[in-house]
Amino acid sequence: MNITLDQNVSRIRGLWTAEGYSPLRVSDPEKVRRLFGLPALKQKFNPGESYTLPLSFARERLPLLSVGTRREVGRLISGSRRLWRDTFKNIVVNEGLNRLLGSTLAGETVVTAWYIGLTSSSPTVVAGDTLDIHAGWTEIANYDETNRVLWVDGGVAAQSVTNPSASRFTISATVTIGGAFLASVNPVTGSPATEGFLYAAGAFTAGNKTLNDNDTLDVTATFTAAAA
Amino acid sequence: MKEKVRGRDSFAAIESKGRSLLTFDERHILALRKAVDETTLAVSRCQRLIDEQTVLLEGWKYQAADARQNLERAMKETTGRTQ
Repeated sequence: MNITLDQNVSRIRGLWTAEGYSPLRVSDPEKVRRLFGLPALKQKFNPGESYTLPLSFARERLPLLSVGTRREVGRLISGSRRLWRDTFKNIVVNEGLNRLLGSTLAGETVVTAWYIGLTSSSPTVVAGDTLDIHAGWTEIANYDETNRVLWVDGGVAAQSVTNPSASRFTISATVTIGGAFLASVNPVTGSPATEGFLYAAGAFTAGNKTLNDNDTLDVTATFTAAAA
Repeated sequence: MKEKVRGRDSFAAIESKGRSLLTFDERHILALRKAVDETTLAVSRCQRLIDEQTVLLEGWKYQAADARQNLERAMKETTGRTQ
């Protein structure tokens, strides 16, 4: 007689959210620069031209201003809107799984900081991808940030860990992005990646997204584990 | 450091959308400042791990010394009984 064993299968997953935002419009460039504490420029602002400010800058700097100054700035900037939002799942690659097992069960060095990077169009992620070798995608680095952006976790609770504040990219040129990944080191393409690890990567569910200079991209990644 | 694709113009054009209020250098400095903040955070996390591991290490050292003493005592007792 055949006996079928009910085998529970543990699951390790990642659910990502990416949101693209257009820049803010600035109605009085000189005054806004002054209110933000930026130095006056020799170059004159052309009244006939529109000026923009990355949403990432405003989100970072506005809370540092006094309430009155913030209100004044608020009257002079407007117009940023969410361009798109995408949620997608990742593949936790073998390198990431080995790392997970190694640091948890085999006394290997713990990675204390993880970073989010961006992939090229239509990435094909496979289990064998590593940070060094990934034939199905390349890394996109058209953003102001010097390195991949830190993924700051909020601690593990109920077999889940996420970054409560999105990892934020300020886009520096027109670029098409296809997905994102989590890596253990932050230097972008062109720097040695051999010492780092790739944990997971995934492609946007709704396809590639194009962003322009001064757009802001917010990425949130939530990783979960379940016994069954 | 990664290469910048943008030119070094004061105001980088954003196609027909408008011009950036921030200069290239200002954006670069902002990015560097963010990198400093992130690295500082990574350092503090690493330091916390070192501190935790140091406490663990001291605990293991104490346990190892204790276990060695127990072994030596047991060996002496055994030797005494067999002689």
